[in-house]
Amino acid sequence: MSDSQSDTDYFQEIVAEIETEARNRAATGEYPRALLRSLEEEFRRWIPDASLENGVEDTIRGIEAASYVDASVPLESRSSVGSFVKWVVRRLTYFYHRHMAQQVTALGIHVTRPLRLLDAMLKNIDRRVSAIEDQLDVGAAARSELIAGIANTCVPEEFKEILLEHLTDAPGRVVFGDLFQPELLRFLSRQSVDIYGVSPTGDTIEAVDVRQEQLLDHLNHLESDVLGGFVLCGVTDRGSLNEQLRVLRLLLLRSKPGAPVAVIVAHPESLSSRFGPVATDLLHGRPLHPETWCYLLSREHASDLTVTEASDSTCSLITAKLQ
Amino acid sequence: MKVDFVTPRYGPVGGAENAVGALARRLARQAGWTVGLHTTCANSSNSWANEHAPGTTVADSLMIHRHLVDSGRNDAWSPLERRIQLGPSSVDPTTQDQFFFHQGPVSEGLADAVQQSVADLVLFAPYLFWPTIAIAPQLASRGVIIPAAHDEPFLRLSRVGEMLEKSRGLIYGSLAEQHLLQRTHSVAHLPSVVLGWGIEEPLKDDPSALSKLGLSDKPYVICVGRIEHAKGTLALVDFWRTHKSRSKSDHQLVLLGEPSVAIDSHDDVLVVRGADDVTKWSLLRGADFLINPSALESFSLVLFEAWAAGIPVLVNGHCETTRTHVARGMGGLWYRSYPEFEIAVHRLTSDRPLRTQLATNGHNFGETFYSWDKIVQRFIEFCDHIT
Repeated sequence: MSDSQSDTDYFQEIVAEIETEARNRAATGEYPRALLRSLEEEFRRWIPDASLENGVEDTIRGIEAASYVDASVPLESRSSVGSFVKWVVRRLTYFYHRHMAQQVTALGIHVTRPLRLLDAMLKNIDRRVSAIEDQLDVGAAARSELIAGIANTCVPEEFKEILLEHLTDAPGRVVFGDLFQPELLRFLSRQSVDIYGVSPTGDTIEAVDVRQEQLLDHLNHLESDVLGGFVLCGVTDRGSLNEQLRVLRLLLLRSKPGAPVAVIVAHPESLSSRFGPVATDLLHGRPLHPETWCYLLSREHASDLTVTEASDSTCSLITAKLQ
Repeated sequence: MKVDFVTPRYGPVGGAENAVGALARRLARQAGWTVGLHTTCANSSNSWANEHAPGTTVADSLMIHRHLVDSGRNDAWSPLERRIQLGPSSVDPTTQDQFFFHQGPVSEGLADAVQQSVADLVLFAPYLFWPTIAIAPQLASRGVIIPAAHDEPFLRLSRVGEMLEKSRGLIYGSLAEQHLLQRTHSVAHLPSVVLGWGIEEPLKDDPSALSKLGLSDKPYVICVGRIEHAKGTLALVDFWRTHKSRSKSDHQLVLLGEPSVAIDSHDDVLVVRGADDVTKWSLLRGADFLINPSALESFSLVLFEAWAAGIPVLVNGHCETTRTHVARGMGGLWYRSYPEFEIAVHRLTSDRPLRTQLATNGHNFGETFYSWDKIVQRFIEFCDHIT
């Protein structure tokens, strides 16, 4: 095990220990309810809603905490007379305060009931979705290990000039995702193509004008007709059929009429030989044939469809123009 | 390349303004770069009163142009601010314009000078003030925004969205800030870079600083920054006092900063105000660790200062920005509730090897990703990319 790996493991162990111990202590009732309520009130006041990871459950806890009323008013005072007066008042009014406290608590229970039902429904949906995901995603761990060991397809040098010619005069910003190649992005950008990248991997954090996120997430943040074109690759080699089709659909929705588009896809046969039989059998998706991409693009009324095969036959570049 | 920065104030005030000033000074030393900074004569964001003389001065190759403030904060601001806090999506554009006018600092001299600027790019920071909202949209093709934003109602105003969407590009402090802005407004396709910020060279210790405050032979933890509700300081004081009442720890909590709410110093908590930078660095080096309780951060330079001073950090786990820094750098711990706070504080106060390990990790992280050389290089690359 490398030093950095053992550092990471040690760090994660400590974080997990703290979380577990905090849960255990809270579960055993070590902290008085009224104490936690008063502490959490100020702490949570300045936390943005979006930062609360478990929204419904947190809201329920917040309402429960807020609706708990302690009828035993504190008696501390600077003088013993003051303390005595407070004690007398508390004794005399205790029945009234307890009655009010019971009503507030009852209100809290009624308010939290529908929220608990909603929470249960959400958890039920979550369980069902997870079960479906599990059915569709058998061997996810094995697959991610395999993917981690396989180098991404490199865009051949000979495609550079074709892409440049194709993307010049795009009617807006061109997105390049999700197989990010900084050199290609830089080359196109220096040749005055208004282009930016999207890459899910963490090693691109320092790159200029590259979004470090999943391509699908990124496309979901964009408005329609905002892109001047796209270069799609990466996901075309590894993504499931459903993923590839969803990405294409979103890219088409986000692109302006007349936008130049390009798809770079590895040849299924060459990929099989590069990946080996185990990875080929277990990987989630496999590249579609260039003919399939042409079919998909022509269904969307794309024109000027051209397929260029790399000289070493490892991959193809499909270019087209949207109507 | 010629660039101009626009900030509401200049000097050792305000997190974003301070960071932008530091970047501008370093950029001005680069060969082939002409850098200017337009700002007002104000220091205080509570009043925007003119405190500096107007005119141009040169500091370390950076041309600083100060302009008089025409109108600052008045009584009209507070109700408008409350209205927006209650529901930004229902506030009409006219009310928003009124809010930004009273948010200030309004300076027609600044607006005229920036509009006449011949710079290739004009960079505005932060997003929430009149100069950015009112002037940046008029320079669409050259205006770059450094939002320095966190999740707050003002960010969701439609005027903010319009201003950001018209910009030439955006510069973010952290990945979390970039994701927040992309979720909130239609800016995901605009040119952008996650730049981050660097810290100034740590100053040497003043051996007498700790003894003057009675801390020379006492263990303590430190919290640096404005002492106010929104920064989470009051919640921290509550947590700390509870922790002290439940444990035998003899540590003291030192709050270093300007209080906007009253907190009395006593055995558990010491408030240090008006400290200079030497005192700050001395206190940081003498502390066992730093706590940043704020959930509203766009970068948090103080974490990097703590790591540079050789101490680990404890942050609010609900703040995506600081938690991401700590998780990536493995330079500290975080808490999301009082029980987690209590356990994390116990681990950090009682385990010296752990503190040393976390501080070293954090220091290496800062050096790797947020050294000034790298930041300036990224900035230059970004400017080349968009011009």
